Amino acid sequence: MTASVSVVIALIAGIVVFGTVGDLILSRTMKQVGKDELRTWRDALRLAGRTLGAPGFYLGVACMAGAFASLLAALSVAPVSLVEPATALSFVLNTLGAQFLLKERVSPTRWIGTLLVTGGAYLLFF
Amino acid sequence: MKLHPFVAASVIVNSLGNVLLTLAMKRLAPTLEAHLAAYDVGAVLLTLATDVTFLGGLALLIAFFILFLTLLSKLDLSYVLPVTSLGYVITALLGALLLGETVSALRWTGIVAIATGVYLVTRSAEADRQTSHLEAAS
Repeated sequence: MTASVSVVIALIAGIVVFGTVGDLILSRTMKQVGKDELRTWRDALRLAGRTLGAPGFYLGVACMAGAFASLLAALSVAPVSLVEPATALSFVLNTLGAQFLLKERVSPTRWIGTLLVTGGAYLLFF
Repeated sequence: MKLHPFVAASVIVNSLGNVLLTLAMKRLAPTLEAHLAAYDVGAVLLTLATDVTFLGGLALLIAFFILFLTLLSKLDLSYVLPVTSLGYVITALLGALLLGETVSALRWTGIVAIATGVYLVTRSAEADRQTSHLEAAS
């Protein structure tokens, strides 16, 4: 490892925080622009137009780009086996955000499923 | 367990995109490293822009992002995100089958945990739908 521990931690935090904030913003934006029914290709085109006209879309994509840049930076200074498992944390953060910021109903069954996915992703990347 | 057809499509498109990009990057790595060592960014971009495997992988990942946004316009983030993690499982399996990567016992455990987790999240979404039908009927 060529970078100090604090740099690696900051970069991993960057991946998780930017990624989670990006997902939450994109989810909220898509709910706002996607209220109409989606049955025909014309509906899909209209949805695409409204998406490209929403500031939240660009904000969300910028956060995703920030997460990707942090990922590339982290991978250049720390081994994949350290960086990838840590990003599994974003499942938990996203679900917390969905429940408390987006006011989604997250039942105990869904929480158990999400925690299993988090643990599984951790093992898969380990 | 019933998966939304768009969810199934996005999972498959995402994994195929990842596998194609990995194939392309592994094959192009020596060429790209030589260009980078010569600080020739134009040659790096030209190599990538003329590689069919790379372009195919990129197109599939863009298609995945569009499908993902469409799913988010109708479904909960707390449902879409865990369920699309099935893509990791398919990527791992494709990696083993197509790229000859080894899948250790630890990774198999991870695959089983993700599959079980996705099953539970999907079941919780079905339970939510049934209760909202009941609420609408009463």
